[in-house]
Amino acid sequence: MEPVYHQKRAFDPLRIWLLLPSWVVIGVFLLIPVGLMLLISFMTKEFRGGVIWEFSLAAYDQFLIDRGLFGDDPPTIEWTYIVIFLRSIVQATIATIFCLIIGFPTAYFIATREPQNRTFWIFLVTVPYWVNLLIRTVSLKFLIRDNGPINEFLLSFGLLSEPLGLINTNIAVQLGLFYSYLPFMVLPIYASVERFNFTYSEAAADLYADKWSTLRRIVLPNVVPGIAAGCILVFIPSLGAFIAPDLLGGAKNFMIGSLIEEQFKGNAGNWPFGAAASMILLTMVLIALLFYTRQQSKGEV
Amino acid sequence: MDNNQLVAIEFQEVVKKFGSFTAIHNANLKIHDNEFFTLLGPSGCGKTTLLRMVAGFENVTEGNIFLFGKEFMHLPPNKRSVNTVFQQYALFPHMTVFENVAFGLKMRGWVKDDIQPTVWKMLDLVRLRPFAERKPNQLSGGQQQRAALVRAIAPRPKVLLLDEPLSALDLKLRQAMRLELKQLQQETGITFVFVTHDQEEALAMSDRIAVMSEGVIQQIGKAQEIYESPKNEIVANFIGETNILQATLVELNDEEAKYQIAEDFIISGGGASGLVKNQEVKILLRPEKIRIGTSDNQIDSIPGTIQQSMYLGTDTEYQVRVPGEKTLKVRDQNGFERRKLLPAGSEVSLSFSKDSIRILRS
Repeated sequence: MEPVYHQKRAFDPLRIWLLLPSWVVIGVFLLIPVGLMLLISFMTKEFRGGVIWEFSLAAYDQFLIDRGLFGDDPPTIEWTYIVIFLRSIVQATIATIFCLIIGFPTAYFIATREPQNRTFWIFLVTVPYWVNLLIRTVSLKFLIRDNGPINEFLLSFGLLSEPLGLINTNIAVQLGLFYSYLPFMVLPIYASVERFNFTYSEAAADLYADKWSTLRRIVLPNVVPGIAAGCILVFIPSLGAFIAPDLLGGAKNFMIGSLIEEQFKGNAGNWPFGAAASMILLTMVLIALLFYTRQQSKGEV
Repeated sequence: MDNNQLVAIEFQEVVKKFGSFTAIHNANLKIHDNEFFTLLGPSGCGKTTLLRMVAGFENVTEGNIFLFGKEFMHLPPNKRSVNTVFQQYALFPHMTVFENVAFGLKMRGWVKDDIQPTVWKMLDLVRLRPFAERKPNQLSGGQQQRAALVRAIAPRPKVLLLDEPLSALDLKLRQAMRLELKQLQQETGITFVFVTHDQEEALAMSDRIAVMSEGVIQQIGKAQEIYESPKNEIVANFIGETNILQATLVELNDEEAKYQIAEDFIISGGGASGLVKNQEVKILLRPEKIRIGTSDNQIDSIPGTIQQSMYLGTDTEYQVRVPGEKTLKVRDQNGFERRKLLPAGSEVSLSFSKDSIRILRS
């Protein structure tokens, strides 16, 4: 890499004006909301939602430490929320893996069509996005419920003796997450496969590599950035998802997103607790991303 | 041509169509073992298509191709023991030079202990040992070229296919690589099939050349044959420069024929077999075969006037007006005798030997 020399630029008032819009956007949509959440997480809860502006660690205490029903037992680790957290991570990981397994061949297929046909396939991938996520998830619920069309069909042909019982299971949540976020996997992989120079594949075949070796040794290493981007784009929203777990998973399969959502809904919520859970989620995601970018920059040298 | 030689690749009536477009018309060609064979032609003439059919990246519409007498068109590229040097090299960007060269050997199932010494030997062959651990984008154009070359040679293919491998290099490097390629071919004894649009490259390196144009193989022969006795106008025009004159055969006897180009412009030459009197022919005359002089008392000389002179270093090119409102291109070498540049307007006389003219039937 060539060294980058930073030149000292003359002070130019125009530059400040040109940069202002992006500062405003970052400030209004990122720094202020996140800062507000951070602040609220350290405040005292108001019983009908909202906060009392008084410093308190109660929210974090509630999340992490178990002091018994009346708050006077010796403190132990509170597992309830950590289990929800771990379940969310497992669910998001499985959803990401499924999206990758289905998304990569899809993206590869599209990227290897004739250039004029690719737009059509991409269009098909994005069509479901014209319908609201909530509506799509509700439709999925109708499809897979015990007396929904899938079960009815299989039962009427005698392929099943009783309904599959998909609804309110982890599998249903998986299906929901997979369905919600698949395009986020397909599109970045498509973009990087499309940029891949297929002369390399020809060269590999010329050098006695079969199709599988060519894919594994030549194509995959060159499209890793797209795969990584796709995994991040699926994993992060899956981790915080609440629509799919709420509608398809029922009470047993609670995920972190639903937990946070509950704290801000109606009068029953607990704002500081919801904010604290959000902060913990955000911290985890940032640590994961930091780890990822480290790996990336190591790989490039 | 020696028919006893082992034939490495044989094209039999090969036709290639892309939709309604015919890229190759009935190609028949035998490439001998250990030969440096060049497919020469302008871009879009089908030479690369021929190569890609041998490599397995295109299938044959009609006809067949044989590798050492065996049918192999049904095999996928990775089952053919031919390797390709690609025009843009196609070195794998995520692998080091060493890994690139080792790739083919690994895929052929060689064990590590055999791969290592072979790769080092290959890298030594093209002086790339110090660069073994570099990635392709950290190499110069010439180094990339050499890496691509040994990557394709390392698995010891029966035939090496080279698709305009020098076209991305600058002139000096290109000239150096010519020599290196030729040496490599002689050292390894592998049959090279080289595709280029650069006639100089073709003449300099090849044992034999096939000149192609618009999907048709126009002529196959040694460099000298192609240059000295082109079969038709296309070949004559593509290889080197040439003067083409429309003429009528006016006099014919056993040794000599006279061709009339204009009323007061008659030249005599050989090569009249199979021609009849009054037949229309085309006369090909290379610019460097014409001698330019200032005295006009030579036998058979043609008077002319210099219209333009262009000094090109090793030689000078003149446009000379000759009788019949024709212009001839003449190349005069600036050799041993230091000559004065003849200015435009000079009266000169042109002469050439009978053997140096080539007659084509119109």
